[in-house]
Amino acid sequence: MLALEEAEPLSRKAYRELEEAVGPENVSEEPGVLDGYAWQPTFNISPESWADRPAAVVLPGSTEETQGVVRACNAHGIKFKAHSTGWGIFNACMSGSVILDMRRMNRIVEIDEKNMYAVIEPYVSGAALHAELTRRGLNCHIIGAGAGASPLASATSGWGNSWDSIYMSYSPRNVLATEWVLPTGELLRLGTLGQEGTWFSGDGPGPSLRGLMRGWCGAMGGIGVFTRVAVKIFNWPGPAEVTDDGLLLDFDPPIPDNFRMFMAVLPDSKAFADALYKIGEAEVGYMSAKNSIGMLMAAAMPHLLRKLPEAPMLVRMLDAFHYQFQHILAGNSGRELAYQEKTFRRIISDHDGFLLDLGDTPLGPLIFWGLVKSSMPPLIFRMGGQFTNFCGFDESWDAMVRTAEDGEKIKRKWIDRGGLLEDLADNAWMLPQEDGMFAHAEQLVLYDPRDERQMKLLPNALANGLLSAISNCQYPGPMGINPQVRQLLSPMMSYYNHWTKKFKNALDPLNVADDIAYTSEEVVDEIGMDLAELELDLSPDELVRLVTDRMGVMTPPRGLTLEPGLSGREDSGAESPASNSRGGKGGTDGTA
Amino acid sequence: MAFETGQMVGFMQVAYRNGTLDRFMRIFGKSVYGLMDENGTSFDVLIHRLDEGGAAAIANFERLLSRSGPLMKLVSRDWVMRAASRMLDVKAFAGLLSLAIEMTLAVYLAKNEGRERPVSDTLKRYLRKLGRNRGVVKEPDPFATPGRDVM
Repeated sequence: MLALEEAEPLSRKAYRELEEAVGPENVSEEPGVLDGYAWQPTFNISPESWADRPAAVVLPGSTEETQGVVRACNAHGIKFKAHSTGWGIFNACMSGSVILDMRRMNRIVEIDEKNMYAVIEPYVSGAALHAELTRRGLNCHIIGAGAGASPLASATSGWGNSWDSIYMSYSPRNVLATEWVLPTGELLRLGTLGQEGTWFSGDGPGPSLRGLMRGWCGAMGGIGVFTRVAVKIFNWPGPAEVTDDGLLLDFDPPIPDNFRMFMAVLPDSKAFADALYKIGEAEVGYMSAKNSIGMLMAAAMPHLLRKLPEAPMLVRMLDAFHYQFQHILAGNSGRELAYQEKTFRRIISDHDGFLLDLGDTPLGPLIFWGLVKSSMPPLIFRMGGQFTNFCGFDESWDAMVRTAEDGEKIKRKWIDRGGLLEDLADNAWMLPQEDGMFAHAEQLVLYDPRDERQMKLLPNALANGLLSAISNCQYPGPMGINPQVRQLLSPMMSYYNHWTKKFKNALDPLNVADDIAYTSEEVVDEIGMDLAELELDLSPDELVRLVTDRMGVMTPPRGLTLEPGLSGREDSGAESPASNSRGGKGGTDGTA
Repeated sequence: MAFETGQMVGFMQVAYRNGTLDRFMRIFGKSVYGLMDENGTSFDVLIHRLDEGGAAAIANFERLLSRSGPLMKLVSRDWVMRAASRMLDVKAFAGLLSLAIEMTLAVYLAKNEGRERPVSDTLKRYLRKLGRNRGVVKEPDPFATPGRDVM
């Protein structure tokens, strides 16, 4: 795939049909306009920062118009891909696809206070929904990508973790009834919407299709267009409106009386892990996250962070805060808040930790509103201009603590070699979800895309992060959109890519939904993740052992015919899956 | 003699266990709010000014930290921290400490930005501020929460 490759223009007949579907003012094939959609620098480790140029962009304003566009694409065999707020390389399309930019569908259709859900269209942002809900004493899950991102996108088509996940879970668990334009143009209404026209459940009657719709990480636009969705909403015991001047670090109105904002610090990883479990059991926490000291400094004091290599004593002091997290308590009454604070303090004390009551300092309001409004994410770009991540994802809290430590070791090596920006190496963004029932972690990697050395070394760091994730039996995050990575992960994850391909073939017989980050074998950025080309911490023998060991983890379920070319099994010429046991391929002795 | 990371953690644990850390955070917060009022700046601007600390400022801080080991060891005792907590409960002492922190930060920022004034000037300014504050009936702390009182 070439950057800014000139796409084949659409036939005039096809273009006219798109115009008929949405109106001529809502279709464009101007190169300058299209390049705006091809510029996808985030999570794109290609030095070019561009993805392919689409053939045209259309802006449907309703479900019917969306269906019209999809039908036109079917009629002319043109690929299409929709995106909402369009954040990251996941929104990239194949050369020549038609992009459906859903920005005209920006309505909050309904807020059902009694049944605690909101029905939204694709371009409703987290910020807009949050603002409407807080007026009613309610709140919504806003993902870590920030308040500008679309809750519909993460609920139907991608990931979606956040600092509120301790209470509000994550996007895949918050999705209810859904309106879905299939790749054929037909309309499918999931859950109660399909039965009685209400939105309160995403399941039934009969088998739930939510797993098919989004699985764990979504189809990234590869199986149609989601035009409306109901998402769960939550309690907000804070003020109906908050007004203050300023943005980001300037936005710091006082913390409401019935909230508390702490930084909790534990002495070591065991205490850190154990304390979070106890906090989850006690169900005290409105928001909770480890935003590492390196990340906080990168966001607020990037110049000082760059000077840290010259300040070993300061680094030593900051290292005392290695196992810390920020925690917000909320009470519906003073008494409830007092109970929560007492419980929280006791748990921290029982684990030999200490608390910094940030509410007493100007730092408290700043972080508090940054988390509540999810307004901080843009600050991640401050240090070097870009970031990406690796290691782990949604698993037990213990596993996430381990994965964060493994990632830190990998990062330290590549920071010292000048491949990544200095962020104290520990930059794991860690979230307990649903009161610690499970958790999320990403090892964040800061880099400067203008730095040639960093761009050369970065894929190596990510590849080692990928292997670390595989050795821990974990999904490696956004890297999973690469076909080579899917091949590696396939055998240890129920051959999921074979299933998704079957779904895709069944739903999209003409293969017109652009599945570049879903089931396609085309590399979404220009780099991909070809291990043979990269410098790995493992020796070739260790690598072979790790990969073959993981490939032997799971035999394909009965009835699943492996699609040729989708996983390493048949490509590697290995013996038949049934006879390929773990013991037969060498032990799982923690080689990596 | 420099401190070790574990020593720093131990120091914070003792300070928290005896209530010193909570009291200090309140005083430190008051100092920073005071500095912002005095300079008419927002916290954002203050962070940026601290972020732009020059090599000399960092070297000074490093020197201070590299000598802090013995003192940290000395004060990382429960009885010392209990005594410190009691002292911080004395309003006059807490007020003086808050002002001292504010003044130290002001001197650091002035030095860092090359608009250094004699320390005596800064001291006089803060003594005047101390005089202004005497006898003033304080408004209720806007950041106090009912939760804390119930505790």
